[in-house]
Amino acid sequence: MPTIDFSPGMASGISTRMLRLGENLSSTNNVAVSGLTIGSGIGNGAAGAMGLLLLMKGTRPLPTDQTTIDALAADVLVRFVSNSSPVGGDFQTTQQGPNPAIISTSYKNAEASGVATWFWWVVAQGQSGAPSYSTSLPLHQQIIGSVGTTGTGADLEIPNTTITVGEAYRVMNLRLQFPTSWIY
Amino acid sequence: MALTYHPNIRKLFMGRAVLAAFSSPMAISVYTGSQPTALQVTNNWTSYTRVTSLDFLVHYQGGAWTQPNSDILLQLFTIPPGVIPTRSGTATWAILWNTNITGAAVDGATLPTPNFLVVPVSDSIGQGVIRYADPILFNATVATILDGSMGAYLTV
Repeated sequence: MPTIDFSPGMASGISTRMLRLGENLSSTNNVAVSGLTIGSGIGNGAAGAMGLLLLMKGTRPLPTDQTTIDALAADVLVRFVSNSSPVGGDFQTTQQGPNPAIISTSYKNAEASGVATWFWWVVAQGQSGAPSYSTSLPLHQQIIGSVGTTGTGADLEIPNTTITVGEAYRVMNLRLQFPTSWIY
Repeated sequence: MALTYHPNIRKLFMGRAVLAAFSSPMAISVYTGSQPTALQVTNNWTSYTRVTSLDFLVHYQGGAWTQPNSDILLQLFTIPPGVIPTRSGTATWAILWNTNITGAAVDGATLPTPNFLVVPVSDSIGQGVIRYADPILFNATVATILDGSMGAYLTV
């Protein structure tokens, strides 16, 4: 089977190139994906589009099912937002270099109460100019994973999935690994 | 549980993880024999130099990759000029250097750069990332690459 294989040197920068947390991406550094409605990083998008990691309740959809955040706004429990000022926004940027990248955030207060069942990592299109995001404009790209209690094997494990409005929550050690070799 | 990805993530992967790591122009070294892993090349480069490896066929400079319409497929937009191969043989795999590595650099005992991909080579109906009209190369005839493309049809 034909295989594409990254050298270790080439692979070492994948996480940083893919995530781009804390960057305010203008059209000029959106070289690789210029001109389309996909952002230029999982953590941030082009022309100021911002990445969000949302802890969600309810039924987990497919990534292609939803086109805006508003479509599931009632299921948002906690919202972590990437930004360029302060660098990274709610995300810590210091651990995005390794592969797998280690994703951690600062504390944010829950917006609603409920049982977290899935997480939604999206890059949401913003208004032109300064970094921003809109809950009603089209999403650029999405990653969806399960949320469960510790030891359940969920993609994101937390000690207690019952989220209470107004209480502070953070993400620690969510690991995202990118492939460095694939068969096609 | 498995993460689910929007299809755009694959396009993003090709754009950011692969294309963004390449400069333009870049270089391509073509070999015969069994395709090794990139780690094997990294750890044992002295066995793969143009001087030491009887499997080393030809080295090109001046290639450039692009991502048309930001889609899932990268294409060798600028095919490097044809070159008379160093040796004759059937091209089967290649190193895509992320910079425009010189011929002198692939002669040396020091790995020219740690940043490269190892990919398959084939004829025009095969699945090679680099393809020739005829992958049987002769060291008396200029060998010109027909085309090049790679996508993120990930199975990992």
